[in-house]
Formats: sequence, C-alpha cells, structure tokens
Amino acid sequence: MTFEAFSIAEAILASAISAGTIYLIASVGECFTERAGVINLGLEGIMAMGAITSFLVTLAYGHLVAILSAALIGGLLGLLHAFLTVSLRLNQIAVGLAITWLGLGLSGFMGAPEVARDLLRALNPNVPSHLAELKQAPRLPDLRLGPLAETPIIGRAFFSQNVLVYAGVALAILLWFVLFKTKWGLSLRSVGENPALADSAGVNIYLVRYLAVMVGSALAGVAGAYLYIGYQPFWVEDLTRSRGFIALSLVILASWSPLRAIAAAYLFGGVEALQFRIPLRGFGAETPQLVMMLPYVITILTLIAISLASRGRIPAPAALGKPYSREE
Amino acid sequence: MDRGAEKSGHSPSPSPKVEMRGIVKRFPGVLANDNVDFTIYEGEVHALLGENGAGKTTLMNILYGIYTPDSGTIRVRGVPVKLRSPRDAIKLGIGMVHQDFRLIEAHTVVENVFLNHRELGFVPNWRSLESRLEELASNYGWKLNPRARVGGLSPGEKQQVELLKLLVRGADILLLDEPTSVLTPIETRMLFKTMRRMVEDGKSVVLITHKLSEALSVSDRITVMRRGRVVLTRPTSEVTIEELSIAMVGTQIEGVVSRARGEQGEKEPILKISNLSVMGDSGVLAVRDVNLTVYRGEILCIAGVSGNGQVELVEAITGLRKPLRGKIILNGLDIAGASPRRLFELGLSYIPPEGKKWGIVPELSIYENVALRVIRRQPYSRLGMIKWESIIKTAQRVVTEFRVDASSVKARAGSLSGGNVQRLILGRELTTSNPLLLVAAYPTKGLDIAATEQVKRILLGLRDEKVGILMVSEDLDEVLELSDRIAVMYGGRIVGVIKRSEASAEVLGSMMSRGVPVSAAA
Amino acid sequence: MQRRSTLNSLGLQVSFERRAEIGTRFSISVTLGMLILAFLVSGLIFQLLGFSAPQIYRSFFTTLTSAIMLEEVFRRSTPIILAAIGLCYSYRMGFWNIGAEGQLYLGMIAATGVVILQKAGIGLGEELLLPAVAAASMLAGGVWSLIPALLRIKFGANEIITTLMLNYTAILLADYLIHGPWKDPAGYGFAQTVAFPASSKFMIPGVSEAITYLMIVGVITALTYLVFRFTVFGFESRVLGLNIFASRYAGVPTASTLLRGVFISGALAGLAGLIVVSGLIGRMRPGASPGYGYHAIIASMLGGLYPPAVFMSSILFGMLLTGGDLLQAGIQMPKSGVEIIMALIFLATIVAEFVKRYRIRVLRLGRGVVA
Repeated sequence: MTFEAFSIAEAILASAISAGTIYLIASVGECFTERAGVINLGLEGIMAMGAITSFLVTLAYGHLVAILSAALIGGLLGLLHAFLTVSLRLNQIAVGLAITWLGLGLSGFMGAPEVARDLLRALNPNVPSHLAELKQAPRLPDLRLGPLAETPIIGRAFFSQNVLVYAGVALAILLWFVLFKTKWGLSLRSVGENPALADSAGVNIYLVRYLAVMVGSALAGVAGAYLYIGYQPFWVEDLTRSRGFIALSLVILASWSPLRAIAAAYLFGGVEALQFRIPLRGFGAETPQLVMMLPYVITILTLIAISLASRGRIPAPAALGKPYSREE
Repeated sequence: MDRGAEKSGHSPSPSPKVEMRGIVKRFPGVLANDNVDFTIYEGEVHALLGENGAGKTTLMNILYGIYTPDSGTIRVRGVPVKLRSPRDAIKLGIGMVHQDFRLIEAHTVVENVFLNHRELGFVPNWRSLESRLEELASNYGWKLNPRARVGGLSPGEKQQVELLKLLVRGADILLLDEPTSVLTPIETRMLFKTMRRMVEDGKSVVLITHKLSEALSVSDRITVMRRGRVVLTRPTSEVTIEELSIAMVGTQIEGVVSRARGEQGEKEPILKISNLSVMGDSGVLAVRDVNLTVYRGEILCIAGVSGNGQVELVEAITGLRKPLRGKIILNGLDIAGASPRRLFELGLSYIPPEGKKWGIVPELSIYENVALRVIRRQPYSRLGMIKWESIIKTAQRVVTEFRVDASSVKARAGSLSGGNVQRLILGRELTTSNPLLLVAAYPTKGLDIAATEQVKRILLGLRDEKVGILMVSEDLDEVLELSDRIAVMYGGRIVGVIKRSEASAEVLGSMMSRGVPVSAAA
Repeated sequence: MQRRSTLNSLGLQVSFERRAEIGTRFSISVTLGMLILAFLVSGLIFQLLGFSAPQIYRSFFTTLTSAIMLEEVFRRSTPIILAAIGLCYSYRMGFWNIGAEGQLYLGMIAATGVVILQKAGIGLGEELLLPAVAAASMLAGGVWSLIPALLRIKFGANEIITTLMLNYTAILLADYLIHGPWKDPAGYGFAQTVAFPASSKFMIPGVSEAITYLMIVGVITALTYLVFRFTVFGFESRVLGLNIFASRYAGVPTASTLLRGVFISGALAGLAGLIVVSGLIGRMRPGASPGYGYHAIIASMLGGLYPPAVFMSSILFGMLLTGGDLLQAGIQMPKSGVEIIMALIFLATIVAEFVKRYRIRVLRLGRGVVA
C-alpha cells in the first residue's frame, strides 16, 4: 500500500469514528429507553435542542457546563415525554413526533442570530454577545492518548479524539453493564418485556420507565451537544438532518444492545465519512446531493436487511410502544 | 394410574394452614363464588375439581390476592388476613402458578426466577444463584439449565421455572391452576412426583383441575365445585369416580327440561365434515380426524371442556383458519379454505366467541357494524357506493327485532352491554342473510339470565325454520336444554355423538373428562 | 371501564375513567380549548425569548383583515390542504405516513420534468400541458409513497423511519436537479429551474389565483368526504385501521386497500407540489417547500381526519405561515417561530384526545393490610 492510501484510510477511519459518535451516544441512550418498553421518536428534536444549548452555553461558560446543560435540557424533554406517554398513556409515536417538531422549531428559533445574541447576553452578560451571531463556538479539543495516538492508521481514529468520543464508548459499556449485569437492569428489561409481570414482582414500572426515558433523552441531548461542539461547530438550521431518526434505526440494527450499538454507529459514521470523501475524489464534486443521500438510502436498505436476516422475528422488547396500565 | 401408591398416607394435621370461610365473589352478571368454604392442611395435596366456570380459579385468585372477595374471611395459620395483592400473598408463603405461564421468554431461567428478588445484590453474583437453582432443581429431579432462555424451554420446563420462582421466595402453600393442561403424560407423571415430594417436605399443594383421573391419582383430599358452590369435600380414599362425575356435572342433570325437537322424518344433511385435521397456534394438531354431520332443523351441540379443539374446529369451518386436511361440505359444496365472506354468501352465518372482541368493531356505530359483512353486496352498495339508507333500515330492523337496547342505531357499538352485543351480532347475521347453517361459539357466555334466554329462543326459532345449527358450549345445562344431538370433544377428537335422549350425567361426565367413548362408558 | 395510574406511595390514586360516549360538541370544545392553550403557551415562550406576545397575536389576526392578506393565506393553505387531505387516507388505515414532504417534492420534480421536456419540444403540446403536469406530479407522488407501503407489507419496515428517510432523499434529489442537470441556463447563475409557463397553471378566467385554488381543493375535500362516507373503499379502509381481525372477518382485502389508500395520499401530496412550483413560486428552487408536508400532518390530526375540519385546520396553518412572514419582516422574528406554534398545536391535539376519552378522578387510598 502506498503512503497516500495509508493516509486516506487513516483519515476515513478517524472521521468515521468522529461522525459515528453522534449516532453512538444517541442510540445507546435509546437502547436503554426501548429496553424499558418506551420508544422515543423525540430523539431528533432533543438532539437539536442539545446542539443549540451547547452552542450558546459553550460561549457563555465553556464546554463542560455546555455538555451538562445539554443533558439537562434533554432530560427535561424526556420528563415531558414520560409524563405524556407513561402517566397519561398517550400514543408514543404521536408524542415523540410532537417533541421532535417542538425541538426542531425551538432550536431553529434560538439559533437565529438576533435571538441567539439576546440569549447569550442573558446567559452571561460578560461575554460579548455578538459572538453568538457568528454561529461558531470553540470545538472540543482532541485528547491525544500519549504514544498510542501515533499508532499508524488507527492512532488518529481511536486515540486522538475529543473527550465525548471516549465517553461514548464508555457509556455504551456502562449501560450494557447496567442493563445486563445488575439488578436494576434486570428489572428494567422486564418492564420492557412484560410490564404486568414486573409489576406483580414488585418493580415500580412508572419509576423505571420515567428514568429510562429521561436517561435516554439526556444522552440524546449530549449527542446533540457532541454534534455541535465535537463535530461541526458551526450553527445551521436543521443541523441534525434526521440523524436522530437514523439513530432510532440503529437501535434495531444493534438488536437493542449498547455494545452492538458501537459497531452499528461507527458503521454509519463510516457512511457519513464517505459522503464527504467521495466528492473529493471527483464524483459529485459540484453537486454532492446524490452522495448525501447515502445515509438515508442505506438506512432503508438496513431495515430491509434486518428483516431478511431475522425472517420477521426481530427481537424487539415485547412491550415496546405499548402503554401500561393495571386494568381492573 | 394406580391411586395412592406414591402417597405418604399420613392423615392431615388438625390445624389448617389456610381457612377460607363464606367467600362470596360477584362479577357483573355472574356469582362466581357463592358462600364457599375451603381449607388447606399442612402436607396435603388438595384437588379442587370442577368444570370450567365452576369458580375454582376465582377462589384461588382470591387466596392469591388478585381479587378481593365481596364477603368472607381468610385465615392463614390461624391469623385473619386481608390480601390486597399477590405480593401480600407471597409474604405469607402463598404462591400460584397460573394456567398461562407468567414468564419472560426473552430472559434466562435464572433471570426469571430472581427478578426483583429481595436477596439480589446490585451486581448479582449470577454464578452462585445459578448453582443454587441447580441444587434446588436437582432436589426435585429436574434437569434445568439456569442459563437457558425460557422461550426455548418445553412447557414442562417452564412450569418448573414457575415453581422455582415460588420456592426461592419461600412459598409453602402452592396453588397450581390446571398445571397438566400443557404437559405430556410423562411430564404429568413427573409433576405429580414433584407434588408428592413437596408435601413430604411439609408444603401444601392445591391442584386446580377439571380432570377426574388426576384428582384421584395424586390428591389426599378432593373438593368439588359447581356453579360457584362447593358440592363435596372428602378424603380421596373415600370417593368413587362415579360420585365425583355426578358432583361435577350436577345432580339435576335429569331435571333439565329438553327443548329438543323430537324425532324428525327425513334427515337432510347440510354440513358434512370428514377426516378434518386442523393445526393449533402452538404448532400441534388441535383437531384430529374429525367426522361430523349437521342436519337441517337440528341443534348439534359440541360439548367438552374448553381447549380441546372446539375453537379451532369452528374457525376451520368458518374460514378463519386453514384446515390441514379433510373435507368440509356445505350444502354439497366443498368449502375447506374458503374466505369468511364467501362462506357468508353461501349461507353460513357465524357467531364468534367473545362477541365484543371478535364480532364487532367497538369504535364504529351500530349500523356500521351491521354493514360489516354485507357492505359489498346489493342492496347495501352498488358499484362501490354505499347505500346507507338501506343499511340503516336494516340496522333498525335488527335493533327492534332482536331487541338491542340502544338509544339509536348511531350509538357506538362499544357502548353496548354484552347481551346487546350478542343480539346485535345474531341480528346482523340473521337479518342480512338467510343462513342454511349457523355456527355459534359460546353464544351465551357472559350473558345475564334474561339475555341468555333470548339468545336461546332465537336459536330454537331458527332450528324450527329448518336451519342447521352447530353450537359450541361449555355449559352442560345449556347443552342438555337446547341440543337435539350432542358431540363430545376431547383431545381434538369427537369421542362420541349421542342423541339428547341418551344423555346422562355419567355418560357425559366420563366422555368430557376422560375422553372415554360412549360405548365404553355405558 | 377504569384505568388506574399510581401515586400509591402518596396514598393517592389517580384514576382515569373512560367516557362511554364522546359528544361532538364536547369534542369540538375540548379541541378549541386546547388550541387556545397552545397559543397561550407559545406566547409565553416568545415572551421569554424576548418577543412581544400581544404583537405576535395581532400579526396573525392582521392576516384576516385585508383582501390581499387573505389571498396570501389561501394560497399558502392550498398545498397544506391537499397534502393533509391526502394524509387522512393513510392515517385512517393506521399507516403512519410522515412522508408527505417527500411526496410533494416528487410532484415538483415530475412537473418540472414535463415542463422541461415541453420546452425542448418533446411533449403533448401547449394545450395539454396542464393535464400532463397534473398527471405526472400525482403519479410521481403516488409511486414514491408506495415504496414505504411495500416495505411495510413485504419487510415489516417501520413506515415512520422509511418515510422520513425518503423525505430527505427526495429533497436531495430535487436539490441535485436544481443545481445540476436542470439548472436554468438563463438563470444568471441562480440555482433554479426554468419558469413554469402560464399554460401549466390552474386558471379560471375572471377568478383570482387564490379563489381558483380554493375551488380545486374544496372539490377535493368534498370528494374525499364522500369517499370516506359513501364508498366501500372508504368504509373498509377505516375498518382496516381499527381492527385487523374484524377486517378479516368482514373480508377486507388488506394489502390492496393499504396500497390504494397510500397511493392517494402520495398523489395528493404530489399535486400540492405542482401547485407550489407552478403557482406559488413559479419554478423549482432549493427549499421550495417550507415544510408543507409536515404542516399537513399536524393539520390532518387537528382536524381529526374529518375532511371539512382538516380543510379549516389547514387554513389556520396558512394563516400562521402568512403571519409568520409578516413577523419576520416586521419585528425580525425568526421564521421557525411558526414551527414552535405548530408543534405546540400538535401536542395540544394529542392531549385533547386524552381529555376527551377520560374523566380524571383522584381517590384517597387506605393502606394494604396484612394482619
């Protein structure tokens, strides 16, 4: 292999991991939510809200506060989702879509220069508010993990990324551990499989579902924050571009396992990386739109492939999407 | 099976573990438990015997805290208790295995058993729990892999998982609801051994069953329930099979007045079923080689304990389930595999079981429900355009003639009571077509007395108009009252067809509960 | 029927009792009440974000006060009405079609293609241009919508995800054509296609554009009402959406009914796309639709899938879009402000369903007793 081929492979791999982390954080959270039997179609809007929050709060108080605020905003939207779907037992699809549109509208509004400027001034009067009009915030710095970062090909991809990339993997492992190795995880999974049975075994269904939705939503908020400060620190409307919905399909591809979600997310990160690489090689240099269709088309093809591979027996949590009530 | 051979033989100790007194439980339209007394002693297998709907499961659900009784007292080990939920029952050492397994198929055995268990640490030591399960299982001679997914287990193994769930929670009063209904004969024998083993350890077991032979072969005492009442409680060694069958199906069997038509001259067959086999949902043959003929102007009742293939048979006849093999001839035409709509056009009307769930669309109005079956037919529609006036006219006829109690035909069908739903379905089927054959599955189930009588009159009226009627019922009194002939189903087969005049408690009881054909039982 | 949720730990129990009957008047007043609530909440949000709520409300009202404004409201309502009426066909069968936006874009693309062919001299001729673009846009929208329907029937693929993915695909396809092969060479470098000729527009002599559109969508709304009310297809599609078993018992042909209904949805969205490019903006440009296909989803739900009510809801949305433009020009309110209001209206619609169905009671509970 030539040197050039090496460096291309290195770059593609690095951007695959980088882009894949958006999907990873969101779909790991959604795995957690869906394992408790709730599907959160609000992911897209929550990500958008996380992104706009991270944009403004980074300028006001820096990265750490920004990430935490994005998680908080996500968690609050999750609370709204849980109240409507778990307590009021409203249709999860409708509620999720409403939250998505609310998040997209609100984030678009907040990101408009004049509004962003005022918001930034309100957040921290000491920061020059015109910064918000530039739509840019400092990117999360890369953390080079010592000599490992020098490893050929994989070094840049795995050992020279920002903190959220590492956190994504850590979160996947942590949530996998919680789901499959702890008492809570067992209770949570039972709620997603058979809430009536979990209820009779003394599991607090409402608490579990509220928490699962809120944790998943908080992570979607963080995924949005990563999308902005970790991946593309320039605000445009519709920054998320359906990535929340793609993350939802990745949960199916990962068959509801946070560990498998790592592979699924990086795979789609790769698709996104290619989408920017192919035009550089000539095809679609002028009009990259056809290449930009890739993630969407591949998502559909993935759904078909999953259906063929599982022969219609997709191992979804049995009570997914169904509101629970003690019928008396 | 040789009775009592495996039993410990010791007499029950005098102080009862559980004492239920004067239990009354009413459901809308049904008195499920009527002043029932029931006791459980230490170290006994107590069989609670009765037909379906006799109130056995209701009684045990009360003891398990699922239902609260309307009146009556429960004492556990001498202390009066109020059970508000299964959790209260479990705290008192009472555990129940339901007929339908309550397990999470996607989870492993050990996960199912220890779900939310009090001793479970935050990060449970699964290995030690697994070996604890293995030990417990081997104690009863079970070979169960704790790490296997429950979805892949046999019904017998699933039952063992259910029992383990109770045992690790310290249950010593075990209520088993029809535990053998899903088991093979070998698994059944194994379960009985387990039950004996459990009572040897001082536990008490209640076996809820409708099978005489089981009650006789494994229990120390037997209580028979019928229509919500206890009709007999006696040590197993002191009862005979004949006594039990009479107690189960009722002593007034000869007292039921038959409304049969009496002997007819020429008999004209309208439905002829030959060698029909049908697959059930679980992939086992539910109907095996059934041969049956229904004649015009008669009511043929299929009697039998539910779950013996009646529903599958009816679904095959009415086009809702594809038969595996065999012929179904309606009025000279083989209709096996035809669609429900086509069958309706050919003169087959159907009253589905659980009318509210299967027979109507609750969200639609009464007249739209009347339209359901006939919407593509003239005069109800032409060239794809619906003629609502003619449908509303028909709906109004249905409502008046069949006395559906509704404010108007525009009312939502879901707001009707069970009896009204049933009359609506009957009315729809009979008003919108001139049936040659009516198939009615449990047509009076869940109805109050007045509604039941109306449905019966409608059926008898049709019979007089020379319609052939195939009816499925669990209610033996009803069968005896309406039928001209009775076919008994057991284990997917028709074990015998007898004339109403030949029916007696002994014959029917033994056919229904043991599958013994009429010749052998007589 | 009673359903209960627990706040047991507080010794309270909230129970939701299902209402037996829902009266029409009650239902309408709940919806209107929730609608007002949605407006109040959005006003509150705008106030918090530094805009004057009364001024915003006034702007929406202004759209009804002059003939010119009303014309604009009706023009902008037209694609929403068409797509929303179309979506009713999908939703009453229980098919969650979120894809009207993409189907609308396909309609634009097909219509533009026909116009380009016509200008190149390949076509049916000037007098047949209108029927040709109408047929092409409806066919394209319809066929595009069949993809998720077939994926659902054949592979059980979730239609929400597939329709959304197809929306992006369609928008990107349109963008590609606009920037690439279909770019108007005489367009001074702007990314846009050639203009639609007058012969491709819906016109009734002596009637204004807005009224022409209103008449067209009025007829389609009325026809849809009749289809739902008086045809076997309309009845069977409703039964299919309500109860799979009952539809089998009643002999409804499941797959063909679903495909037919979804095709109509897509065709009407495609027609909406034609009206956008031939009438509202005159040619295909990037971002030609500000999300009419999404607005239509909310409008059809707000109207309870009842065509006349969907028509009215869509006009409300046209009003919001027009008012939004005014606000953007007047007080520099970002245009996504309108989207916030719409999202809150959708949320209100969902909650209204709950309020209609249940009566809420709070009970005090005794403790469980184990003596």
